[in-house]
Amino acid sequence: MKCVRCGVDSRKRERSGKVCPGCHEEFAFDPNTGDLFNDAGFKAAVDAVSAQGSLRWGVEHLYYELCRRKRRRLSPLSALVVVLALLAGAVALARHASPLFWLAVILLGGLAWMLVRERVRGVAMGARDEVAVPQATFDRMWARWLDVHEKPEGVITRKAREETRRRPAEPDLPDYSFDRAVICDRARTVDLLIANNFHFENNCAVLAIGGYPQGPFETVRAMLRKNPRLQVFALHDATTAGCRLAHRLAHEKDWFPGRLVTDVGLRPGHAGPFRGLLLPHVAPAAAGDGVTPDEVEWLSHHGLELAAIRPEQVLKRLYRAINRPLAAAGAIADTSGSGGGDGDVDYDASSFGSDAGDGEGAADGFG
Amino acid sequence: MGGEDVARVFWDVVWKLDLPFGDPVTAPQYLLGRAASEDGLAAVFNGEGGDQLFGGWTSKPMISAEIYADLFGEDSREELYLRSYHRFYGREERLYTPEFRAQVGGPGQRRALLRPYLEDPSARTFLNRVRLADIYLKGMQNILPRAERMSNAWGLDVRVPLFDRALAEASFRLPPRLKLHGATEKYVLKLVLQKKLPREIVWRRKFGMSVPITDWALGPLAPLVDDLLGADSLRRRGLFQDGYVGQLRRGQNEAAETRRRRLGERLWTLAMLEAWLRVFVDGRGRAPARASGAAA
Repeated sequence: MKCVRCGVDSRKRERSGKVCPGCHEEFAFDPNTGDLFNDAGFKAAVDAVSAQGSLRWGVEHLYYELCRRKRRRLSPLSALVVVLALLAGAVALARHASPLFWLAVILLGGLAWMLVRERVRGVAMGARDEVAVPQATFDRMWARWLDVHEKPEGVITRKAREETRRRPAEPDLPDYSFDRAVICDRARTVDLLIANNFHFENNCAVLAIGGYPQGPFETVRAMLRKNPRLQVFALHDATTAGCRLAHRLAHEKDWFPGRLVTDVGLRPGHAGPFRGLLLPHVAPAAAGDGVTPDEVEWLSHHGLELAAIRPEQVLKRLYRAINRPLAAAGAIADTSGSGGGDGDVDYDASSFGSDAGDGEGAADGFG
Repeated sequence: MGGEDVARVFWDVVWKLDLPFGDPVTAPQYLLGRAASEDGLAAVFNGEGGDQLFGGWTSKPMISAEIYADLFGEDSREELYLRSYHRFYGREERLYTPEFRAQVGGPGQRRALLRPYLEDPSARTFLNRVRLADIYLKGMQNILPRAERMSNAWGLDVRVPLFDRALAEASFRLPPRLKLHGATEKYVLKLVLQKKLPREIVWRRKFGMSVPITDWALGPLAPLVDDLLGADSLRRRGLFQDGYVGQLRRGQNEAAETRRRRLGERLWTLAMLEAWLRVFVDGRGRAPARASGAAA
């Protein structure tokens, strides 16, 4: 087991408890004692969600990253067992080898490989739809990591109200507006976007429908009303409330009644690649108000949080979504797609449907 | 106009600029000057200054940042302003060699240059303070001299009516909402010009002078970029780290970077600096051998 501090790779018998023989510092985890990960694996997950330390991220992103890795760990193991069995069989019979025998080995090997591949796919997509790591287990792991190691860089932590260093209010700011608004169903998504300067880079207001961030919330909402050409985007989890977000924004009087709202969030139709990262959800859902009859069944049993997507991809997919020309949306009022058939809602099913590359936005211009 | 055209005039641009301006718009300006000169023009007008005087798009990131400043940000206004250039602020550790970093010190000097404008009590609104910084730093020290040099290279006299002193002073007496009206930039200019121009021109969405610099830097300009910013060149110069610059040359954008053009902009800035050092420091100000075709 490799130490993330000194790099020494030690065997179990070389260690005394959870202490590294190289630097004599404590390990947070040891799979030999039942932990799901070792320290190096946990740190690799931190590196992945922070894009090697270049992004701010939330603990919830780390949770899903570990779930993703736990899901993946099944497949190489299965593959290894089958390949080793094949090798052992081939070696045992090699002394009687003839060309015909080797041909049979190659054919059987190919067949076995296909079976393994199907098995791997089955593990990834079939049996375990829901998260592999219980939340309580993760909470213990996180607390243990903080006890043993430093808090990783980039974790988004809200300041306590008394810690906020209030700058003098600038009286002219409420006179201006934003080009775009991204309204989220949960405050943590707002945290992710603001902490990573999405608002600064895209002249974009970011709010949660529930009233977050509390300080500037009403000021920003009033500013948004000053732009008749405001572009509004709804970003949300695949939950019943999340799938209704765009509909609410387009119809509630405090938001944007009569204005086109583009739904760029997650919906049941996006769930395919997220098997193993879904949350169990038993609240009954009903069709209407932005939820289609096709989505009701899925939403009654599952939930999919935006945090299951790595922060780097959330930022890039959202950038792609807000720069997508309206023409590319197909129809402004999508009554046949995965949305609820709202005339005021444009359902963008594609932007969050696949990974986004660098700068995929259509209009990479000023502003 | 394509990257090949820019590659052909690159050293002319370096020579005529005289200072290492880092914006890739200088190359198209140079080629535009050539076209105007070939058409027999002696003077040209440009519209530089509209953003700085009348509340253009450059103010918007600062307003967004100010609104959300107390949530997570530790950055001062000066730091945010420097970040809005999208070059290397905050990337010093990755870009600078330890020796160069020790020489240039921390970013305190640059922040100190901005503070008189961004904190100027005589400018009574936030927008006006940002505009002051824009005018003194971007306008006077960057936009105007580079446009003038690129035009002068072809014997053209460049006129900048919007940067007229009386007009600039008058812009500070206008209420801010006549400049940035909601999200509408340069509102007062649009009000004036809607009597002269078609509505769809005046009120269309902003479409900036975006140069496809990343395509150029990784395409037709790549041999030039490799020569100027390759590992050997960087080692000789001793200013920048090959790890970071090499990543840019390979077209690998930063994880947090959503705009592809930033990569090319950064490469162009570094390439211009190295080219300027070769001409004006190593070459002691002699015209580069590859410079040709520019008017005297």
